[in-house]
Amino acid sequence: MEQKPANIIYGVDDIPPFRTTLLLAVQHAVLALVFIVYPLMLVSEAGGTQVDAEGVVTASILVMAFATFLQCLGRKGMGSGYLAVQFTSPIYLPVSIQAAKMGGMGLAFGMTVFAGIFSVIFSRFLKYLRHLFPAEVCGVAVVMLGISMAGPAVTRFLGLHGNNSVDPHALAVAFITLSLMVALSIWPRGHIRLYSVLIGLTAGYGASLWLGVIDPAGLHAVTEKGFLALPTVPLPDWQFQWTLLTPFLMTALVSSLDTVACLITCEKINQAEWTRPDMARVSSGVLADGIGAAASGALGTIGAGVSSAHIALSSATGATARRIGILTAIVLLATAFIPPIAILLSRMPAPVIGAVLIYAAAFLITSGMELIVARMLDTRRIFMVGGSIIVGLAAIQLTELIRQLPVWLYSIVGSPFAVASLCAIALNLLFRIGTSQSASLRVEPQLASLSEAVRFFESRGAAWGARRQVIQRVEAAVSELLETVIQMGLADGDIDIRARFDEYHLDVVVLYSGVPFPDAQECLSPEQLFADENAVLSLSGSLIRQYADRVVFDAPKERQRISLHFEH
Amino acid sequence: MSLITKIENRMPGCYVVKFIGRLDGTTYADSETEIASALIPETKTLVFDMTNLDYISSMGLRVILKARKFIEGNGGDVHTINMQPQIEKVFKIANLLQGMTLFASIKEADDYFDAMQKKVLDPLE
Repeated sequence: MEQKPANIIYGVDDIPPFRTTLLLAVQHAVLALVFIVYPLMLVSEAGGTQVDAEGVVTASILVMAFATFLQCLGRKGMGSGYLAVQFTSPIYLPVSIQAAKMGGMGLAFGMTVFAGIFSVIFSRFLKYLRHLFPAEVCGVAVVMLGISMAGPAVTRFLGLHGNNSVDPHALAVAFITLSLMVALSIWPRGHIRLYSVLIGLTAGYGASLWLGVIDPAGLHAVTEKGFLALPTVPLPDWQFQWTLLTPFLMTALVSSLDTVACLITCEKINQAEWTRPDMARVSSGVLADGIGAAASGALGTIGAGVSSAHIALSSATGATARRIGILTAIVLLATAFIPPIAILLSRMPAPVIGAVLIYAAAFLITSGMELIVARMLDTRRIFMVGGSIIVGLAAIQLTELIRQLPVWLYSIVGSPFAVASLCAIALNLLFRIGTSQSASLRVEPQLASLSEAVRFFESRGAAWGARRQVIQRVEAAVSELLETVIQMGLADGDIDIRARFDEYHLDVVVLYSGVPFPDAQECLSPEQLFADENAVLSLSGSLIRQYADRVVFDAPKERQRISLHFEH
Repeated sequence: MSLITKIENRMPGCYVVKFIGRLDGTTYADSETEIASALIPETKTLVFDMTNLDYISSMGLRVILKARKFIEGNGGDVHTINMQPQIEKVFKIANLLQGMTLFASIKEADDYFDAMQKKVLDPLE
């Protein structure tokens, strides 16, 4: 079992007490229901009726419950097994609106089924595409997930209207909500941190009523349908159109990449010593995501995807147990039978949503940055990371220009996350050209060569994008080795250093002609060391062993060879 | 790759040696020369501040060992402040942690020396 980080109270495999699990599940369900606003935007853009809207709300709740259950359970290669709540994703919104305008909502839902099937197929090939997703590329994707939330978050937070005027009441509501969520995540002792978002949302609703951001009279409509009702979903009139296939497949690809980034974030927040993505688990997650998207189209709502806001919430609260996700699915399903809850939450005040998005975006941005800086960065990687983020920011800035593009291209370029991620993948592949995974260095048997060897591993480590921690161990081991060889005059001539790297291993071989390396196995007592301080040099072999994962001393072809193996 | 060695006389008979950088085959000789000024029979307490010591090799250990041998030979004590985990591992392998007090912070060491100074001055009052 992986070691969970110190800030995580309930890790993915932990079983929190039932009452805690239930409260956390309610918190996640409330947040998921807020995002029903996206399919409602589709109904509004397509000129749908109130009946259409009610059908879409019910379909969305059922799909979120089903897809979340599948994703969190993670059984038989289906679902990641992480607390990754599925919601009706805004990624599908632009193409769905386009399709609805061309042929009605039935066309949007029919095409969404195909997009889901494409994601299912894509998930089967994902594990073979591991080299496309090194840690720094994943980091760019996660940073952009957070950054792309910033615009809609700040607009809602400030209560901006068409003329860019700030609504002071909206701002006050957002400020109260966010302050409470942040304060409860930082200062209180005990487990109150777990419920910071739920408490913040409740306070936000209260403040909205108090300050008149929501009309109390409008809330009467909440109980119009009664307190209990069987969920009914009118079957959509599914349609298919060839011209929309490319934009929907592109959207499915973007949604799958989004899921990849989200699940990698899940892995990272659950493992103290995270090194690289577990692509088998990620592809199981993308499979569940694809099935969820296909189910969305089948039931009549926009495509489902993993919600990054929920992942940020689980990280912020320190509760990432999959049981919370499974119970979230059950709570969501229950709300389908209690219309007032769904209606109330789907009318969440915009400034409260803004506060939640800012809270979530902050966690995603820093999580992505951590992924990026865990690796050594040379000029190629600096341009890959920086260039991709600039492209993503440009997509945010140049919305008017991008709107004029054809639909199929707009589905990619219109998403800052998608365009930055694809750019990072492309630049990573491009910059691999001319980077050899092997390198060698010949040094003279002088102490000055130690600096040369350290510089060699610094530059190669950065070119390979190796983990900084591993390169530091390599430098320590090779420095210790060279120092002893040189200090004890073991080498007759030059010393050769050869290194080979792949994503999983780093092997270093040091070769020289001369006397074998003194690899003393037994430890010296303090008395022995005090009697002769030069005896400390005989500890060299033991010191090298503590830096490397495997050390072999041998002498083929009349040269002394020390092979150092490092897990990466 | 460099090392800065700073020596501070905290009180009569007590020196603090601060390392910044890497103590290895390329830097040990200069460091040894610097420390020599504190290795006098009057020195009863020598403190190595290892807060900013990034790496120590077997030659670096030799520097510490030589200093310890001298101070303990003259009836004094050697202490360390804020030893980083990677450095502590090396000391553990070399069996050099025995007989040394490890302070977790400069404040902890200061409190210890204040108490020690008070103990020395108290009988005089």
